[in-house]
Amino acid sequence: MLLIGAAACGSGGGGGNSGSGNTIGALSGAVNLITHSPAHNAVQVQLNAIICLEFDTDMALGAFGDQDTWLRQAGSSTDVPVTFTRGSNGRIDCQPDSALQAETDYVFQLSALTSDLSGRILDVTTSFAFRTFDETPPSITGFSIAEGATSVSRTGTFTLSFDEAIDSGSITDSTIYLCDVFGGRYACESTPIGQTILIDPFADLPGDRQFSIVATTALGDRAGNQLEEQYQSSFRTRNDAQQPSVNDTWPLLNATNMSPDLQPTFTFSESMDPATVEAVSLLFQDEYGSIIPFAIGATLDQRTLRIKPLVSLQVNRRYTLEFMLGAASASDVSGNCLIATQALTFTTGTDDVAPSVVASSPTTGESRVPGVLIAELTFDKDIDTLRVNETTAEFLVAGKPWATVIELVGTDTVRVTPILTLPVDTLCTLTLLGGQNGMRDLAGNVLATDETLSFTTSADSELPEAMILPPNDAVTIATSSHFSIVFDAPMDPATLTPSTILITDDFGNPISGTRTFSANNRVVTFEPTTNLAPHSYYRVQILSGNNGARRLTGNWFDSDRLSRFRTGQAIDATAPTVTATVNGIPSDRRDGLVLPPCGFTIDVTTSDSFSQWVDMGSIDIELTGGSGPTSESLLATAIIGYNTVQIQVSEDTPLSTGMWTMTVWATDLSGNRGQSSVIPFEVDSPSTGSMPFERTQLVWVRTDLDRDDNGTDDFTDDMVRLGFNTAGDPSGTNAYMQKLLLDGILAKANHIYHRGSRGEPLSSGAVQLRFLTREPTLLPHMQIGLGGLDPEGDRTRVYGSESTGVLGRAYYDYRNSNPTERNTATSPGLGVFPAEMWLYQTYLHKQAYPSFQTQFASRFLAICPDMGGSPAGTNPYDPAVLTASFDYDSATSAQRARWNAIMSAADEWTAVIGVILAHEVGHSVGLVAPGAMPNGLFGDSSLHDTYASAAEVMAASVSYNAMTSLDYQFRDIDLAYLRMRILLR
Amino acid sequence: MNYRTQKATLLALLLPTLAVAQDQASTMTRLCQKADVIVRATVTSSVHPTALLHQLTLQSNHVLKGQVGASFTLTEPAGKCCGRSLFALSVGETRILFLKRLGPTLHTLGGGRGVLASTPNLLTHVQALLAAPTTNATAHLLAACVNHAEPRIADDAALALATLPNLSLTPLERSAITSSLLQSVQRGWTRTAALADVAARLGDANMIDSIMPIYLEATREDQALLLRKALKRCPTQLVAERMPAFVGSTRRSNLRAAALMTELPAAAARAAMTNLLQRPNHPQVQMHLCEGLLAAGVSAASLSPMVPHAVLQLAVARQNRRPTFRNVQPLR
Repeated sequence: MLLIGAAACGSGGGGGNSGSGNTIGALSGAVNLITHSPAHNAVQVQLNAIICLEFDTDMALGAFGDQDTWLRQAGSSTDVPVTFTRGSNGRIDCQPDSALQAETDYVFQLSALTSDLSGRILDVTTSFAFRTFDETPPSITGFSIAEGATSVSRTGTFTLSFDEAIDSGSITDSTIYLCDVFGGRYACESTPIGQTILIDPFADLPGDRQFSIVATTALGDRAGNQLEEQYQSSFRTRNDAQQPSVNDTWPLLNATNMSPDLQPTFTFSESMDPATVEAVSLLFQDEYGSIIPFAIGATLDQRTLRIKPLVSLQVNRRYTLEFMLGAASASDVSGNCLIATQALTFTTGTDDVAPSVVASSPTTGESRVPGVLIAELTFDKDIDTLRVNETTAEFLVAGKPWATVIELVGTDTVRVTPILTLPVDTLCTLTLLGGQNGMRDLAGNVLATDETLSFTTSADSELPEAMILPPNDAVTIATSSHFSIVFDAPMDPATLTPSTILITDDFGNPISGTRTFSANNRVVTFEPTTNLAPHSYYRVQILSGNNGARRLTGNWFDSDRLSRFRTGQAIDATAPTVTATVNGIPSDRRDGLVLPPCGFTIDVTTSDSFSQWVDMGSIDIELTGGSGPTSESLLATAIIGYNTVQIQVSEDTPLSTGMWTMTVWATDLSGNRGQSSVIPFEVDSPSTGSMPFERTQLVWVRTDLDRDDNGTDDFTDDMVRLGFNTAGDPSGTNAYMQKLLLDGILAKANHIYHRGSRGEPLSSGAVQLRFLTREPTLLPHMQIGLGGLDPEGDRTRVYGSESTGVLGRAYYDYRNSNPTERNTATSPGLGVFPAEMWLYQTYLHKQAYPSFQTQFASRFLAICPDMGGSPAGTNPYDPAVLTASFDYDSATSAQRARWNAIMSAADEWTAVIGVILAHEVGHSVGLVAPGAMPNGLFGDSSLHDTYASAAEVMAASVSYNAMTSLDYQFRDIDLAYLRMRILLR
Repeated sequence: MNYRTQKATLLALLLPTLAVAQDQASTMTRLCQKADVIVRATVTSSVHPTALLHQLTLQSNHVLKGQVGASFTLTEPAGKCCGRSLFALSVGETRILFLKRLGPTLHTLGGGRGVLASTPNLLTHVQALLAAPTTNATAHLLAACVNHAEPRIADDAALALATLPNLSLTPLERSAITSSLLQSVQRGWTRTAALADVAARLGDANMIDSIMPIYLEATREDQALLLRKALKRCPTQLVAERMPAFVGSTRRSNLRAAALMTELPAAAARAAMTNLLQRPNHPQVQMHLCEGLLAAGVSAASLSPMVPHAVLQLAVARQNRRPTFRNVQPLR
């Protein structure tokens, strides 16, 4: 066998993480930073400290001269001069050339291109921060209210400013507080924000009163230095003559059948003084005039007071609460008396039993809950809808609040619907609040304690789908038909029951028959006991929700799936037609086919006589020749559509080497069986071979070439053509736009190579190839030109001229034998030629506009100068809009519109050019080796993917529209090669 | 072996260049228009007159367009190159060649896309393209080919149709476009891009009615995105008016409908968004619709009776959120 299975990772180093939060370690060919000092966020670092870096291998000292390796003061763009020296066992010392400044935050960054002696690179940019020795205590630089100020708002917040950030751990109720002249403290929430603390009193402050804000010496900075002396600043609140009033009461006036355990509440127009609500100010008595003793409970803002009877109320008795007026009446925090209020009357019943939850979906502890969740908790009695809201139900996802809609369904079920889809594999907690502030029944009996429901979302982010055969609205179905349901993933068989999959006539009467499961529980077949009635409707319904059909991962359908179809008169006795291919290779080109043990595809198409359907769950793939996957296991992973099946043979179930034949069978719904032709092929055995990447392949994308000799680099020419730049740079935005576009193009190309936007490897599946915008220091690398017209065409072409149709050209390098290709020549013309795309798209635009607007025109009409647009830099908004500091939040709608127009065009263009860049570089690392294995990757004679119909990067040709929207990927076998999971000998 | 040394020794083995083509610029339809000579020919010799050049001699079997001798030569830079796919031809092989005359010599047109396998299907198709007397006739021919079993013909037909200056199709041909589009969306093909463009160019109520359910039910998000972009380029008022008729009950299709409506011009979509908002919907759908209506100038107060408070609150909070993009990062 010429393809070999290979370890995905090469030598690598097994070192640990850097300690600064980067977790991608032990990637193939990557150096690892094992540890460093100072540690991230270290404080009290000595001014003469040496920054010590420990790697898992001996490093190339020169690599530390890379421009992305630096020490800077936080927020500065100026490098601190340092000297690197190499120690033993992978140690590098970084000595600042002069002492660091005291009490200063520093950031140290290590370039991703930092390399060892053999050329392996770090591959991730690493940085950590530290603060130098600090012995200066923090001091207060200001308070938002001037000392001695008067008429200060009673309802506002206060800000205390410091000369440095305060350690949040030192902020407590006793280290910073608000008090009045009597020494009474007023509860506040104190929040550190940068170098300030925001103080927000919970309740309104009393009017015309002297207050002081106090910060004690226990407040300290991150280094532990505390305030040298206590701070105090005083002010007086404005006068308050506004009388409070009652806004709301509970229970409602004249309510009946209330619980003897209820605690009535009054909600006021402003914060009240709870101490003024007592027996002389609030009359609480029963229908016989017996006084009910009570205590008062208040919310934090003191706007709602709860009356807590100190004796049990009697059953079936009428009670009255009435605020008394006069000198002893209840008052607000400023002493203003309550406005006259109607008495509250209610009657108790006999129900004093607390509600309790009797059922929930999901159940607590469940671990396979889909992200599209609708949680429901059912109580044993009717619930008060007034208490079903966001104040009584809290939904946390990974410990943080998540926006939900909370509603009462029917009378006894609380439904919680997260507005946005939940993240996968995440712990979620739904808490229904108990106690007097929580859920309660209609009588006012409260949920005794908090009811908490914890569950974990499944690791599967997708919802199940099902293909029901016969499909919905099908007609003239043969009476001899059976039913088939093909799910898109393995299902939990325990959830595929007659009560979750309803197979009935049109009136809901169940049909008798036999159910069978196959293909790893992806397929349910139902064979009716007798033939279906002619000219009749039948239904197949799959129920949704946690009590319906569920994937093996636990995910359930978000809504029921239904197929209603009608039978005809006759039975069907005609067998279906079955066509099968391997890797989509038609019969006239598959002689002598040699396949790897896995990774190739089997494609099946079927057809049946008019109005009859093939049971796509019946596909039977017979592989004969040795040990290999079963038909069941192949179908379990297949992509199945109406009349189509595609299967990729998994590396988990490879074929043994030798000669094989494949025959595919399919049965229609009436049981007639069809057969494909027999396809012979050979599977070859693995052997050792070379890897395309012995080190991370670096690719410098060059935008500095001027191959049309017009005095401006070709990339800039493109920017001007497209409208991203303006000649003369009138608004000073050209550099920003060039960086935006280039970074975007590289981000797209990086994504295609399974890397992050900045080139960082995202997982062990990342390809060992990294795009750069500049020349790397001392490291071998490929270069590719980006910009301008195809140098092999007329270089004087302008808007309206004809495109060569060639978007890029690069050296083809079988197995990437040379990592230093220079795809920058003018003859032959190498590189990526965005202007050719521009020429053709503008040609189409000129043909169709204005009767039709192309996708390109929909983005570029606004900015492309030749199309009548206003290029970036010419609009009055551009200087403000086209900067990294543009504040969208505070921008005008016109500014936002301009920003959106330019950014949308930029994003679309970068998607297009990024795909082309990834394509050309793909050629230079060995794609797509022509022919079958062992030497080829099923490339065609032009070195592209054969029969590329999907969004494949290495297709021979590409279209603008497709590249703007479709998720372009390397074909599986190309990606396997790039990941070095298969090798060419 | 030292890494750098080993690699350096292989430098000399570099093969020449490859190219990726703009497919719409190199369809058979376009190549038929642009080529000076189209010929079915067989390679009789393959030589390298210099290290840098590769020269083929071909015997012409069937001249489909223009004039060429019984035997002619084609020369290209040596090495493998998709833009110059003569490198893949060996003696005895027959191809359909699209050639352009530059001075006294002939050159391939459209790179590898202009060198076709000489199959009966491709030959017949090229002959039919050349025989089409008018643009309309070409359109009818192409529409009949969008479901062709030969992928190159079906792909090219869709691509070429999308770029014809005038596009007028019969109901049967429109039906073929729709069925091809449905199949392409289901299989995740790039052909969807061209077919969606064709559909958008036709853009009448019938075509919108055909595309809408395919869009709403597309399994793949990227295919749905293509269709959404196409629908946005149809007459917006028509799209907004037709959409409510197709909205189903599933969360996914309603999310799709909301995404489309919120991207249409506000004046056209406001009524449709309000219509959709008044139906029973998942809160996420409601939130997107609220975002669209808020952006269209509808006040939060007027939306308040129609949706739960939490939904409106989140929509308002997201209203000023800076959009994010797939590739560009404006804050960097």
